Amino acid sequence: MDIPSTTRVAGRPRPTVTVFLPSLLEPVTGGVRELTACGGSLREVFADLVAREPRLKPHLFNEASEFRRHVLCFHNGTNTRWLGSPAAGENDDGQGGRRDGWDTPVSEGDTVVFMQAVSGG
Amino acid sequence: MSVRLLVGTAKGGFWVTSDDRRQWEVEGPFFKGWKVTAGLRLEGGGFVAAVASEIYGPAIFLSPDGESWEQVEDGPAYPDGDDRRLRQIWTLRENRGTVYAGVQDAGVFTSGDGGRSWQPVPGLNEHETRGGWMPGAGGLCCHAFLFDHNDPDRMWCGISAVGVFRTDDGGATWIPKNRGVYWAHEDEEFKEIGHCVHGLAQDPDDPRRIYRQDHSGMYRSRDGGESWARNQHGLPSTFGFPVVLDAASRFLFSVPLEADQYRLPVGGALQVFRSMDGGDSWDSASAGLPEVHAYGGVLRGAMAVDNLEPGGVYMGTTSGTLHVSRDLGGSWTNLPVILPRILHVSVWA
Repeated sequence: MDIPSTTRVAGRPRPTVTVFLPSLLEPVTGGVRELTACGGSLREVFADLVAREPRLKPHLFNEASEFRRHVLCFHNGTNTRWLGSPAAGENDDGQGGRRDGWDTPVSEGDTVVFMQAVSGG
Repeated sequence: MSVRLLVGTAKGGFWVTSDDRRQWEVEGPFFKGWKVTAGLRLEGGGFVAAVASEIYGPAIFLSPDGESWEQVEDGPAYPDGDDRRLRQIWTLRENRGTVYAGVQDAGVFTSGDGGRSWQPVPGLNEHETRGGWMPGAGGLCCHAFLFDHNDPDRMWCGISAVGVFRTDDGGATWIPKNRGVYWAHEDEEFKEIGHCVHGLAQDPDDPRRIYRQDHSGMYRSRDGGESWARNQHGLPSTFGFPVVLDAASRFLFSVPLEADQYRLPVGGALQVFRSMDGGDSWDSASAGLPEVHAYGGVLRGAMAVDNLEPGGVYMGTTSGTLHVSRDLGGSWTNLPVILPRILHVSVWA
């Protein structure tokens, strides 16, 4: 997966975060909705997540290694799309999917929650 | 003889089974919330299912028994960074030990290990006419395969709004085969594409005899797709999606819809049309189907035959109703279910 890792300080243990998945992804993970992944940044956490559970990759990320159009990701309750620079470009679907917040550092015990953007009635 | 249907809907899959084709049991949904877009029972045993989500994209699952399912890790995929997107898997077929997947954005992938790993077919996926491929209303999808049981190197695929392609060298090269079919849209550069094939069926004795429900009408080829001619006498509308053929009787079945801008059953009656003479003429074979205020159509993958004697015909509608004929369309039973929009029906006897 083209989610290049940032440089890590040798010897420093990478924080472990808890990743929560929506129920729609239960068939993908065999019913598991809570996983752990490691990394010093969100980018490293995502890379570790799909390394541990490769079946998740095509469902969370598109061929450009950006979030799928309607996939939402929250880091400690904050939408990761709000973490980066507003000037960063949108993906080729003309929607969100930006990766500009992915270098946000994470700490031990952080949470990453994936959800789908369900709006309208 | 027991019969098992895989009914794929917009919100999950359902097993519909019967020991006598009279009493039916329904189980499901499985893959709840996901579109189930194609299904296949492998010749060596086990099942393959294609699913898709508007949010989470497509995937292929395998099952040894139809009960427990596991997603494959190495499914069909365009390369990272590619401008194409894998949006849906429209059809799954197996021939001579190879499993074929037709996908949207249009392409073909194959698996030589029962669906566990998949490889692209460059001769089709990178076709020289690709720049002229335009999506139709259903998307730019490869949705049909035919095989030549006399020639392992020859097969056909159908791509909506592009046309029928044939390979005679095992998939290395593909040639558009649409002569005689009216254009859906004419490409400025590639005159051999722009033909909107909706469904394909093939005579089991003569693989060169192919039936084609096209956007522009019902066609037949007697020469493996080299030429096509309309064969739609008796049809109330030439527009529709599925065309299926019962192998024992050679009867053909279609579900005409009113014009492409409406896509509704003609006159508000759910009607199946049957040809008993190889497509020369068509007559209604709709006894028992809803005759009034029926506005659910039948999608290209939502009609199937069981090839028993007498042949059973099965179809699901966009309104979620499911209909069964045990006598080649002589009469129909409307099963007491209202499922989500039905995308796919497979049947195994």
